[in-house]
Amino acid sequence: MKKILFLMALFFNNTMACAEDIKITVSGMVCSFCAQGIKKNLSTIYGVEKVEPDLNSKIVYVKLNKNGQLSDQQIQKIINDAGYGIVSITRGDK
Amino acid sequence: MKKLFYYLLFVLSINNHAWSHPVSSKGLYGIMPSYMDQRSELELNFSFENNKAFGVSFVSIDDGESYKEFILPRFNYRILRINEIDSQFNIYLSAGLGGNNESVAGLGSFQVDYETRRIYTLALAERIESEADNDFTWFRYRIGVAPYLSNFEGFHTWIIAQVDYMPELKDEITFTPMLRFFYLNYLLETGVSTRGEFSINGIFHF
Repeated sequence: MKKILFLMALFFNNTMACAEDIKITVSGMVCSFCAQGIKKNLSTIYGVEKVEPDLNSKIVYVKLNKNGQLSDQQIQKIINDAGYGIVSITRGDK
Repeated sequence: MKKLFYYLLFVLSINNHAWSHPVSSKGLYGIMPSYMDQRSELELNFSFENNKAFGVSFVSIDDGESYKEFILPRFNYRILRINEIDSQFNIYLSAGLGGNNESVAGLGSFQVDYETRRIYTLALAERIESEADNDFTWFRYRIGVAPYLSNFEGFHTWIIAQVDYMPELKDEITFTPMLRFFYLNYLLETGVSTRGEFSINGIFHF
């Protein structure tokens, strides 16, 4: 019984560890040349799989791998360090 | 050693300038060369905060009688940035102190810019003053428009109208239509003034 419970816990832990998508709406992001720092600095965070800024929607799309974590405070610091402001942060699992 | 230094300065000064990106993003290095008639400059800088950068400008000025070359370590400070969802406004101040083998020289600069994805405008005032009375003032105004919009990793093009006034070098205003191109971290501008003077600028961040 213990073995079964252990195997079930292992199975569900793996299936529930999903990659997270984060959408960051950024103010002032009107020039891709100037905003390269956003992508560069977000990409260096462990667990960040992909960073895609979109100038049309003003959103930076961040995809984390299943073990990745990126707090709102980290996001705030990175975007501010790049010289931009944050309008909103939206999170959703894929 | 001196020959190597001046050779390096000459090579770098073929393509030189510093005006549009006194500060970039925290942790980024900037290389900004530019060349225009009678004035060329290379600025190298490092943004150690999101609003502050240390750098050095190598400036070469042809006043019609001789070349004046200056090495000016500088501090660039963005005193204001206003980020809106569709625009950005910046004010920068710069100060430098260095010189050449004749005298000590100081640099002071003030820059204001505003941009959206479609419109860009910039105003710059800069002054170099030296003990040897090699003083130079430079005023620049630009306005640009993007004929098409490209996304983050696309190739961007701007059409820019530029006006320069350097009273100690030329007692008249120079008008230069420019084309600006940039892709990722690489920016290049080029143009020919209404007097047939060629200019070229670059900005590279890494």
